[in-house]
Amino acid sequence: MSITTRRKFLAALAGAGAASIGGFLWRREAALAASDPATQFTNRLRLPGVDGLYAAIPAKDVKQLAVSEVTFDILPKLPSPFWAYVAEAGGKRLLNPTLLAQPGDQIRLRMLNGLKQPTIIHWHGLTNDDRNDGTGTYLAAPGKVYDYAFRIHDRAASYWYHPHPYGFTAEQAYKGLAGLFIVKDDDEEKLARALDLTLGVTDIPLVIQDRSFDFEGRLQYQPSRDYKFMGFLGEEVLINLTARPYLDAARRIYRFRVLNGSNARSYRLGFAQGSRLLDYYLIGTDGGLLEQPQKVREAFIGAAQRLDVLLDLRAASGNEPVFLKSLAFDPMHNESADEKTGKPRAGAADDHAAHAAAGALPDGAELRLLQINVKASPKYARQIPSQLSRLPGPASPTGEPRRLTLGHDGKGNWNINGWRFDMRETPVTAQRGAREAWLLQNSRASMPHPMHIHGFQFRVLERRDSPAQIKGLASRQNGLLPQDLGLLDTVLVWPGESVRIALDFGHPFPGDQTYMFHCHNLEHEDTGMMIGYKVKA
Amino acid sequence: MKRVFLVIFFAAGAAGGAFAQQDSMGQHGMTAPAAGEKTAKGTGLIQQIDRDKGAVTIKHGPLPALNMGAMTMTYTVKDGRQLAKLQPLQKVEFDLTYNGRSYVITGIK
Repeated sequence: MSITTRRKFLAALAGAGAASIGGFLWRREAALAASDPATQFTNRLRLPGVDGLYAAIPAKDVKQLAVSEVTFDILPKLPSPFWAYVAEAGGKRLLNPTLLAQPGDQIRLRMLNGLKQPTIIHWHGLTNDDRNDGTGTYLAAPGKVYDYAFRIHDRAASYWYHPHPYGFTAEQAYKGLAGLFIVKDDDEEKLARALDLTLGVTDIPLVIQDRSFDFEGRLQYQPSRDYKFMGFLGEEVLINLTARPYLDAARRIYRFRVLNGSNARSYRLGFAQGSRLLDYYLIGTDGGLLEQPQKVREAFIGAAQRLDVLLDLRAASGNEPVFLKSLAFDPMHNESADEKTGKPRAGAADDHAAHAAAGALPDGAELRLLQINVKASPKYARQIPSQLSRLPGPASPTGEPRRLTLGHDGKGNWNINGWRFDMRETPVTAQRGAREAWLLQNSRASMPHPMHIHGFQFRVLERRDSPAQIKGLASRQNGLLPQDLGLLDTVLVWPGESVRIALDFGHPFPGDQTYMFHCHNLEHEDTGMMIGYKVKA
Repeated sequence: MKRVFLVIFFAAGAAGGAFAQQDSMGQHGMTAPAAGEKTAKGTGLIQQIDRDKGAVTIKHGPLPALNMGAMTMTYTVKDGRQLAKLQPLQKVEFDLTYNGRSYVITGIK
């Protein structure tokens, strides 16, 4: 069935179903909006501790990560099959440990594949040669090991690690395989001292992931063909693998290191107290601290992206809880739009309806993610520093930008310039040390794509033809968003939008290196929206 | 894809009786006794609790005794006090009774 025909069918079906069901089947969107939130957020947010999930440990002290099938209570007292990176240290068992490092650290660790399928770890955002990057060109078969040895070349930031075996990534990440890799340096220490921040207490990682559970509370992943085209959307949004979480907080400044670890879902993040949106400060992105804090009230975060923010809870009034929310937005599922006009084709259904019918939280719906209870606390008088760090200026590219167009073939297959992933091919080659501009052009008949480049951080130079909900947030010339002021490894490109980025292909590795450029909607990546590219020595 | 369609069709087919439940039962789950009452024991995951309306939304497994497949549904609870100790995303066992016109949870823990 073609996409258009299938959508027509779905639209007709959804309409018929809604008419006869009439309010009996639960409509999650309406129910969440109507329910009393105070009764819904009943689970304490999981935080990195000394053992167990997300426990923090110096990366150079980890000698082995066993990729394991374990049992874990994601929902309280409900054991679920779960896949985790397991480390043993000091007699303690760590699941998906938060790895800590400093620039210059030498990391040597062995990955042991305990799964029944191939896997490999990608160190997302870190500068590595292709043997250590985890592109998927090297894999560990079931029962085999893979040895990593690399130096930290990058500035301080919240990087992360996750699986990258082509065709298996979405399932493996969904079932639990993901952890943070936090690099710290002097600028970080200075900020922590200025604001009295402690990792896991007032400097809090927030890993956002949407998931579905079966009726016994077990993690459920059964992507249909439609889900592979759209990307998986879950029925619950978890933070740090906590469903409907709350955090008891003091009236002071908190740092939240937000990672969107979802397979496909984007979020429009805001902090709300009642109907009032609180200001917060964007201080960092994928590649670390910005030069200055940027005051915002909302920011989009696509899959795989990180936003580092400060929230000053002294601005909260009374005892009403503050909610981290995803504010409502247009998810722009324009896959069936007319490419020339960008307008919907007559009779084409909204894919959003298809997802809603399948029971997922609708894409773009307003969602409460975390309840923050502001408690009485000692006086806190710190102020956010005006200067955070120094960033190298964007590379000055020479020549015309390299055009990379994102689209689909009308048969359910996403592609880049018409290319679909072939492990044997590298359709793009750059010279080591070259400075290039890449123009990422998303088709009008498309959906948002979080595009990730392995091997190099980049800077955004310009956004063109952005949709209104993005233009409205642009704070600088060239249509740049506040997060475009930082170093990125992933950029969310909206339908019809063109994003021009600057890349510096200088790196310390000898010989030709092969990396990946792909959509980090993991179902898109697994179904071929990825290309290899070569950096020639 | 086929599975999504089947779930929607099934739910649409089953919905008529249950929708009548909401019309006829009001908030208290009180119905006139009817001949041929059937009760099924089910297991499910609570999605939402509406204590004001004495209703609970459950993602549950198949209920063959009532000819119902796995689905997510909102049901009135006969004794609303049973909701007091329940939490969202808690696994529960429940008795669901169908009296020929409406469905009501007659026990849940």
